[in-house]
This record gives sequence, structure tokens and C-alpha cells, in this order.
Amino acid sequence: MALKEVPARPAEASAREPHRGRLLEVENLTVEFRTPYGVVNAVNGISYTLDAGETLAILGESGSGKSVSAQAVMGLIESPPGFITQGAIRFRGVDLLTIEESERRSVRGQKIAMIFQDALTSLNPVFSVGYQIAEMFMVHRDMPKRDAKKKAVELMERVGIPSAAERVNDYPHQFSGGMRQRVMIAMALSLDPDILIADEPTTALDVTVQAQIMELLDALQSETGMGLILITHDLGVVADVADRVIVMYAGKIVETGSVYDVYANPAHPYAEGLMQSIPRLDQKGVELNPIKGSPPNLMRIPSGCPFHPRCPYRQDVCVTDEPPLYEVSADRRSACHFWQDVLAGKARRA
Amino acid sequence: MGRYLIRRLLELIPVFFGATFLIFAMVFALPGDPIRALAGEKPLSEAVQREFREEYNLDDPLMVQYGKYIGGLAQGDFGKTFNGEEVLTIMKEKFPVTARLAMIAFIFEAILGVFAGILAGLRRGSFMDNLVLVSTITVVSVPIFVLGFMAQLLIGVKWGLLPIAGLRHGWLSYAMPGMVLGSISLCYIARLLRTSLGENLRADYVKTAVAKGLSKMRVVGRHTLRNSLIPVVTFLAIDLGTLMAGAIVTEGIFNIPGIGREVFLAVRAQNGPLIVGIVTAGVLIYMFANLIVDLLYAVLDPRIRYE
Amino acid sequence: MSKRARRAREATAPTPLPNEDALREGVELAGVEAPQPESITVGPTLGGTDPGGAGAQVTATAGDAPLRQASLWGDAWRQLRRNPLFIIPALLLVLFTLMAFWPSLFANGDPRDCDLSNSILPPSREHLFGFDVQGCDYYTRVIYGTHVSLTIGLITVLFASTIAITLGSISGFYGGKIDAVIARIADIWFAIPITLGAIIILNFLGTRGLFQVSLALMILIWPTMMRLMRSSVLSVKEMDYVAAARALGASDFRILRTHILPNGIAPVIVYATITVGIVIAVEATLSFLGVGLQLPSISWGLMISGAQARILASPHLLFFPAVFLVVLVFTFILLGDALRDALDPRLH
Repeated sequence: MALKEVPARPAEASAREPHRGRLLEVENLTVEFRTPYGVVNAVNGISYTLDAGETLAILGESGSGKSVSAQAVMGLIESPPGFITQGAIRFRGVDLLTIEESERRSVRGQKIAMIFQDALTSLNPVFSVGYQIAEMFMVHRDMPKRDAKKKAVELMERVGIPSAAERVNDYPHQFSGGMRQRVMIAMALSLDPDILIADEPTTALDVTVQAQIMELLDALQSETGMGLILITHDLGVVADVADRVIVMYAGKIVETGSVYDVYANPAHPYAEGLMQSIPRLDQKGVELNPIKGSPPNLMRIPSGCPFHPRCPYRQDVCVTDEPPLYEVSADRRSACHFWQDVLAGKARRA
Repeated sequence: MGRYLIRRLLELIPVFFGATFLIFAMVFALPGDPIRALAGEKPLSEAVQREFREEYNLDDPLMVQYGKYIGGLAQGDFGKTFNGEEVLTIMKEKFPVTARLAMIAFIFEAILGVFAGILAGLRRGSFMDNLVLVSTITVVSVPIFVLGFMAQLLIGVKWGLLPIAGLRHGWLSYAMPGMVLGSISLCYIARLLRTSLGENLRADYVKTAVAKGLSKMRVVGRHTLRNSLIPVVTFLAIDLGTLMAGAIVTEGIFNIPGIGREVFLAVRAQNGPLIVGIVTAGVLIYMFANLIVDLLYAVLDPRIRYE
Repeated sequence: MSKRARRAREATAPTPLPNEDALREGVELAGVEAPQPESITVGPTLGGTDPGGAGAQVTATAGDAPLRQASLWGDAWRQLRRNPLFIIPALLLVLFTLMAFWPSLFANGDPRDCDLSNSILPPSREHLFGFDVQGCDYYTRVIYGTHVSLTIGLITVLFASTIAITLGSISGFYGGKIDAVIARIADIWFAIPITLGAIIILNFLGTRGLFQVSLALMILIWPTMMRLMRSSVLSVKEMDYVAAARALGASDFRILRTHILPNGIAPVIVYATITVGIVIAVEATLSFLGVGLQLPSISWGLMISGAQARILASPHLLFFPAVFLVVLVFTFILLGDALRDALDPRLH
């Protein structure tokens, strides 16, 4: 979708913000949905960490488990049908899965905030945007309505909504798509959260607006030093902003590494497929190679490596043995038995 | 917003004339001779008949009769019945009775309907949900006159809880007929709210509200219910209009002298002016209720307010 | 107003609904699960609002491709076959149909063979339902009463839905002036409450047989179905495959017949099914009030009406016809409910 050049070397990117400790540790997270048709294994034991000031992109097709894993962190999985069967989600060392709902609620929104794909449906149509932002202060800070409204205007200005004071009493449908997403961002940032999770924040927007929203998120992140998780199916959109990337497939992490490395030279065939299906300015004349086959059925995930039915590097071992996350380099992992071949670009194409 | 209301008002004009003319035509183009029906056994003299036909414009073509009627209506004159009484006077006498019955039915259906709807809608598939679903379908299947008899037999005669019929017990007399009258709308409100709550609970903005760290009370009570009640409130407004226009069957069974029973008796007595008068008033109430609903929409749903 | 906002408004638009008019209650029940019409209508209430949303609910998602037609109905059938809430009313309907058209299968007596000496005898072993005032065997009469109810219900709805589907398709497909005229005519009839309207029409018609009662009810119920059809057509019309068919040069008639009708008709069928039940209830009400069918017709409404004065002494006179009436109405409402669930792709 987005035509991007290869992002800048990560050295500059991570130097931008000094680390202030580990914010989030997700360990062996497993989420399943029990439906009348069978159990959907949406997330199958993923682990990752997020530090302050860091931007992590979680990349995958729909059904890869990227959104579900984020909702699990937020505690938005409806149960039933959703169940977190294994794992831990530690926020500043505290496992969110073991604490009381009331404690959990004090984390939600205040410490970890989230914005969603479609800001129009994600904002309540019958309340003014000002009220919806102010509600954060009224509920969590016991602030009187008038002061909370003032805060709302400040926040709206901060996220770049023009003439915020006049627009504070307008309703969501009166804003454009980009402005609505800014409202969502303002609401999410109102209580200075440590972590912001953005679930496909720009997918519903025009390409030009997409870039503006990404810039805004990037600027706000550098300003506050929060940890940012960007969930996306389009690496092109987040490549400039993200430091690290996690590639998910069938509810598992298949590759992780710095954005630069993964983008420039993937170590997993699926990541490679994703990269080859993005039009790139630096590879003019190269044919686009969409990934063959269709995403796996999460009720019947293939044996061995879940990607094997679609994989150009497949060998017999892939059907029987599930690959562990091999260490490719210090900060890089790939769940492919033949990651070396992938790095070398030796696909055994028919 | 203003333009929207004006357009709605304009759309109501043909409805008013169309509906009143239809009724007028059907009532006054009756095959039977109203005078003979009125006179009964005693034959009327030629002179009296002529005078009568004159007074009620019965010899004019239908359109002219209707024109004269509308002309009178414009000056607040609903005409006279064939018995010589002012239609307006009769309506003024009967309306308070119907209004009281309507109030009881309205309160009953609104409170219980919303309550049942919330119980069912919050927990889909639960025992309460199924109970509400089954009982509403069952009640709707029972024609209101059967429901009335059942109530009279059980609540009135067997358990002796409430007066069975008539108006001798003040407000208490309205209790049973009010409940019977409101029962079907109650079912509808319950199902409407259940559906609307179910859909709104799945809406993205509810997820946002949870993600904001709001309590369940606030997520449901403030964010979800506020949206879910929009169709219910507007339904209630329309229903109140309908109730005010009179309830033929209920007033008949419970022997309540309201507008509904009056119009029924008027049809049986072929009292044309009274029928037309009451139906016209009913159409006016219906139109008024519709306008109220349009306004309510605008008040409740900002997406409509800023058209 | 943006399309989305309009849709949102439509989604919550109610239908005017005279309280005692069981008929229009049915509308609400029909659509009650699905207030999501996609129609672009004039206003929330009077001006041609979608009365039930059953329509849109089905159509909104139903037609991404013409192929879906087959699978929509196929899926529905597969689901219905397994649903006891469909099988039970379907079996009841078969039973009632046999009763209506071959009553002698159930009762071997003659419903008009009465002996005054048996007047209002209570139920006994030989005469399960007892006798009525005229001394007629009540069981036989109740069985024979099925005919009138079922016939009026089916005929009325069949004709009303034919009119409604035709006018609704034209209205929704062509829009513009035709649409406005049809909408206003429907509005006019809509402003007249069903029970009262039926009483006045029957009074006007003079005679009150099966045909007249059906006619009166038909005149009063088509507008609701027409609105439903119209909004349903409006939403299907926007589908890409209709545009594709148009681009390929298909005629209006062909587009209507092969693309719009099969996809748009589901909500009308759901609503029509429920309406059969409600028409049956209204017919009984009219007969009960003495303004519908008249003796010597055999009708449950008339039986209940005759029982009114003896409600305490001979409750069986009320009980048996009332139970049959309620169960028949219930049958159609349940059928409609099951159909709606089956035709709603969101639930699949």
C-alpha cells in the first residue's frame, strides 16, 4: 500500500529515547475462543517485552492473533467465548491476569491505553467528543465537569485538532476520519499512560492522513516516553516509526527483530512473503510476489510449522517438527528450520 | 433541523386529508339510509327528513360534503351527531376516561417492558433471556379480547384482586384494563430493548468504554443504555399517541366509557358524524405523535440533530 | 447527513403502532431483531420508514453475490431442519391445515347438527369439549372453525403481500415520483388504526363474509409490507452485483426478477408469516365484536363472543376456541421467528 523507502538504521531510532525500564512482559500468552463450531486457537504461546520509549510493531494478516493478543493485554477479551488459558501479562512486574478486576480497571485506560481501527464506531455517537475525553478525568481523577472539559480542550489542541475550544462540544460524526482518530488519541493519552496500544490506527484512513497520524503518534511518543505498540498488517505504514517488529502467523511469533533487519532481509519465509508483497521504491522492476495459499484455519492449525502448506522452503521436517524460535542474532529470532536459507534468499521455488 | 421538521409537517398534510377523506367517504357513502336507521320504527315526516338532509348536507355530492366538513373543522367545529349533540362535547366527555386508561397502560408497559428488556438483553442466552423471549411471544399470540377475559376470570373473579369492569372504583378500575391494554406493547418494548441492547453491547464504542477503564455500571448504564433506549423512547411516544386515540376492544370488554367504545357504538348506530369526528381526532393525535417522535429523535440522537 | 448517519437513524426508527392493532404489533415483532434497514427513506416514522428491520437485516449482508441467493435459502433450510422451534410449529401447521380442509378426519359429526336439549352441557367422555348454547357438539364446531381462520389468514396475507411486493419493488427500484406517490398512499392507510379501519370498511361493505373480511384486512395490512419490501429493495439495489448486471446490459425487469427479488424478499416472507397469525387474531376480534363474520358461519371469534355472557357458568365455551385460536396464532408467530433467525446471515 504505502510506498516507502527502507527505514533509517535502527541505531538512530533507538537512541532517540533513553530506556526507563521494562514496562510490559508478555509470557507464553495463549488465548482460545470456544465456539459452537470448535475451539479457535487465536494466540498460541507468544512472549515479548516492551520497554519505555520503545515502539513495537506487531505485524500479521487478519487472523494472525495480533489484535487478540493486544486485547488480552488490555483485558478486553470477552469471556465466554474467549479464554486466556496460559501465560502471564506483567505490567511493571505485576501479572495483570492474577489481579482483581477492580485493580485491573485502574490499569486500563490510566496506565495502558488503546486506540482502535475505526474511530467513528469506536466513539460513542451520542456523546460529544469533549465529554468522552473529559470522562477520563471525571471518572478516574474525580475532576469537576468544567475542569475536565478544559483538560479535554487542551488535549484536543495537543493532538492537533484545529479550533479545539469551539469543537469540544461537537459529536464524533461531525469530524473527519483523521480528526476522529486524533480524538481517540487525545482520549487515550489523557491520563498519561505508560503504554499506548494502537490497533490498526490508520487502516480506515486515506494514505495522506495515515502518515499524519503516524507522525503524531511518533511525536507524542518521543514527548512522553511511553511504550507504543503498533498493530498492523502493513509494515510500510509503521516502518518509519517502529523500533522493533514482531511478525505473527497463526497465533505465533514467527520472526522478531529490528525493523531495519526484518524489512531489509527477513529470516522467516512468511515475513519474506510479506515484504515481497509490498511495492517498494528501492526495488523497481522486481515482481511482486504475493504469498500463495490462504491463511490457516485457526480451528485446525497445520502440524509442524503452521506455515508449511504455503512455504516455498518447505521440507519434510517442516510437516512434523514445529520449529522453535531460533536465535538469528543477538536481537533477532526466527521460527524457521531453514532461516539461514531464507536469509540467503535460497527459496526452493517450483 | 428546522427544515427537517417542516418537511415532515408537509408530508403529513396529504396523510391528514387522505385519511379523513377515506373515512368520510366510507361513512357517508353507506348503503343504508342514516335517517331510517336513526328513526327506527317511527316513520319521519317528509318535512323532518328534508330538514335533516339539509342540516347534514346529505344531498350534496360527497366532495362538497367533505369540503364543508373540513371548513367547519378549521373553525374547531367537529359537527353534530345525528342525535343533535355536538361531537366535540361528546369527545371532551369521553377523552379523559381514555386518557386515564392510556396512562395506566403506558406506565405499565414502559416500566415492565424496559425492565424485562434489560434483564434479557444484558445476558443473552441466559434463563431470564429465554423466559422473556418465550413469554413475550406467547402474550403476543393471545388476542387482546382473550387476554381480557383471562384477566377478568383469574385476577378478577378467582383471586378477587382487582375490579373486573366498569368505573366504580376510581383509579383502581383502570388497573386491569390498563395492564391488558399495555401487555402487547410491553412485549414489544422488551424485545426491542433486548435487541437494541444486544447490538449496542457488541458495538465498538463499548470496547472503547471498557478500554477507558470505566466500571461495568458506567459502560452499560451510561454508554450502552443511552444508545439502546433511543428506539424504545421513540416507540413509547408513538404508542402513547395510539393509546390516546382509544382502545375499542379493551374499553368494550371492560365496559369503560371512553373514546374507543364510543366510536364502536357510533359505527353500530351508523352515526356518521360521530364516527368521522372521532377518527379525525385520532388521525390528528397520530400525526402529533409522529411529530413528537421526529423531535425526540433529534433530541436523543445527535446524528440527526445536525443534519 | 452522511449515509452512515442516515443508516444509524433508520436503524432506530420505530413504526407507528396502534396499540390495539395486533397487526402492527406483529410488524414490530417481525422486525424486532433487526433494526438495521439500509433504506434511504424520508423520515423516521411516517414517511416510509422501514417498519421492521427484518428486511434489512437479511438483505444488508445477504447479497454480496448472486450466488449467495442459493446459499442464503439453502443455509436457512439446513438450519431450520435442525431447529425444534421451527419443526414444532411446522407440524402444528400441517395439523391445522388438515383440520381446516378435511375436518371430517378429526370430527365425524356435523357441526350444524344440534339438539337444544344438550345446551351448554359441560365436557364429558363422549363429548370432549361439551356442548354450546344451541346444543351443538362443541368439539366438532371448534374443529370446523379452523377453516375460516386459516383461510382468511392465508388469503389476506397472500394477496396483501403480492400487492406489497409489486408496489414495494417498483417504489424502491425506480424511486422518484412513483416512489413518492406510493409512499403517500401507504402513509394514508397507515394512519388508520387496523381494528377501527376494518370495522368501518366492513360497515361500508355491508355484507360480511369470508371474502369481505379478507378484503378489509388486506387493504389495511399491505402498507407495512410494502415499506419493508421497498427498504429491502433499496439496500439490495446498492449491491455491487446489481451494478455489474446493469453494466452487462440486463433489463430492469431482469435485474428485478433475478437479482433484487430473490435477495430482497426474505424479510417480507418473514413478516408475512407472522402477519398470517396476526390477521387470524384480528379476524377473531372482529367476529367477536360482531362486526366480522356472522352466524351461521363457524368461527372461533363468534364462539368466544357467544361465550362471553356465560364465562363463569360455562368456562369451557371460552376455553376451547380460545386455546385453538391462540395456538394457531402462536404457530405462525413462531414460524416467522424461526424463519427470521434462519435467514439472518449474521447469526450463521
